[in-house]
Amino acid sequence: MGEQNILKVNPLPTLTWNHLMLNFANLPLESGSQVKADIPSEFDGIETGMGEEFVSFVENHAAAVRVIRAGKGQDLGVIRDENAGTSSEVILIDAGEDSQVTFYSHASEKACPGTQMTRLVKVIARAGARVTVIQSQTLGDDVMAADDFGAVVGDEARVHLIQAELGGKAAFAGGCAALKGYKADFTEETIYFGDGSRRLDFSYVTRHTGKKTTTSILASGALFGSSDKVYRGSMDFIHGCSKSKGREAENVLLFSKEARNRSIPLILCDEEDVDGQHAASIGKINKDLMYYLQSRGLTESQARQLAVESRFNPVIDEIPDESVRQEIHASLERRMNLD
Amino acid sequence: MSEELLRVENLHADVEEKEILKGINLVVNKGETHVLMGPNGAGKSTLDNCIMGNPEYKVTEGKILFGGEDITRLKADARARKGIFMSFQAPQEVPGVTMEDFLRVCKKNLTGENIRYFAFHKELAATMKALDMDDSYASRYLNVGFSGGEKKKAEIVQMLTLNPTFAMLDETDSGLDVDAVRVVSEGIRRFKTDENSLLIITHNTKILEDLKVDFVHVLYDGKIIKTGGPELVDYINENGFAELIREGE
Repeated sequence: MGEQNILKVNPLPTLTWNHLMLNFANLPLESGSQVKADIPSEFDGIETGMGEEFVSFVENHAAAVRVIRAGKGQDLGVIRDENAGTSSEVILIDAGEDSQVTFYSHASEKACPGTQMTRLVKVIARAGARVTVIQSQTLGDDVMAADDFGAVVGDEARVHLIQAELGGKAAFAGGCAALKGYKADFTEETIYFGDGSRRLDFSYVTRHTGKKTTTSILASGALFGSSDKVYRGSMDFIHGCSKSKGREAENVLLFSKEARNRSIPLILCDEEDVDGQHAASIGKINKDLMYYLQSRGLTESQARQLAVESRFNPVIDEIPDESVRQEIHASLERRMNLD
Repeated sequence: MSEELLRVENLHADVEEKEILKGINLVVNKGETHVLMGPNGAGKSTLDNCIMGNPEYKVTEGKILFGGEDITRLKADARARKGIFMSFQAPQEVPGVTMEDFLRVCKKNLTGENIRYFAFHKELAATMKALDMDDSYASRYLNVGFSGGEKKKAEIVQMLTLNPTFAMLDETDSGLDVDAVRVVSEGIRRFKTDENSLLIITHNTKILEDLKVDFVHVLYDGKIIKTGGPELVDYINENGFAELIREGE
């Protein structure tokens, strides 16, 4: 057993009332042997969603470090994370000009032998690069899971992040994109599933500094049992990022009176000529939809499962591996039948 | 003697604590096609929903028998598994689930059999073609972005695919252009056999032209005020409901 650390993670960019207990989250992690990862200097200082304490912890305890470099105009195709599920790993992606990289990491219950799993991905997307990062997990109920992401997005580069947090004792996840280039674009999609007493805690931040930058942050989730979720989505329009646009939206389905849902959409604006929008939909499944599905012979639980999966499927369908998609569907089916 | 499929006895039903059905009696035998007509607000859709088991409609008195079994308290999914189907006036959109996947899951669920992927795909494509519906809709999310007419056709595709014993069509023809009504009518005719039955709610008798109608019921203020043969359709087309309502009072 290692030493227990309590890390302050998922900080809000601007603090709100302390008594709401939403300014940050406490993440308990055990520290194993200290292994200082060899991080190339160009990745220093990239802001992530979960924050400095988490980055420092993972970089100092990394069991696996991988650097992926795409040269100018190079298409690396789809890269699979062979170490997914290890206690602590760091992935660093330097996507050269006009290059393309898709990286996915799926941690299943079988793949994770320990009681905690932390992943950190940092991305440098240079001008015109296209980078997609997918972090998904269907971990067992005894595992503490944390997925963090940070990117610097250059001129006309596009970065797409998917996080699917569907298991674990608790799941913490975050993402941050610094949109520095002209017309830099960041899209982020999160799906989460809370059952039992799972705690879910998220923080996403976009920093717009380049002109005509665009972001889209979307989250869809379902909460069962006494699960407890906090979602922070922050868009920061910094002076000079004129004609930038950002939108964030969250859809939550609540299946239990004991489930707790808190969402904090935040738009910080120091530039007049921008367009920022947020929307949230929180509630039960539309009863007309349930009736429609049941009239076709689906039981209440099948209809409920279909309604949840129908929200998740557009995101799950983006995972470029059929076996992972099937594993996720099987995990969700099992969990919804257990409820 | 024909075999009885559906029997509705003295059915009273409330919607949001307001009584809509005030004592409906109806018997549909195997192989019969019944048409339900009546002015807006008469209770036609309420009757369909009560038979299908919509939990928003409360049956306060009377009962519904299907194949001799009392189904009044059964949930909608149990009724569907017994062979009851309803084509909705306003079908729901199901983003994230393609029409083909949805129907395959439903079919597997209703029949209890494993559905062979390629055979099902081929059959569905043929059904859609017969309804003049591009088969690309099968791989689109169910009803998402479909026009009003496409949604109605998709309901008929569902009926033909799930092959129920008793199908209720609730204004399936509304929102369809003349050609589409003909195509849908042809689809319904193809569905109809001596072993299954139809209950059609319509204001547009064009959809009935290709069908052999056995009985026409006029519903008004929660009661069936007149039952007749197909000639009643022509009468209503010419005279409307006013005279029938006066006679019924």
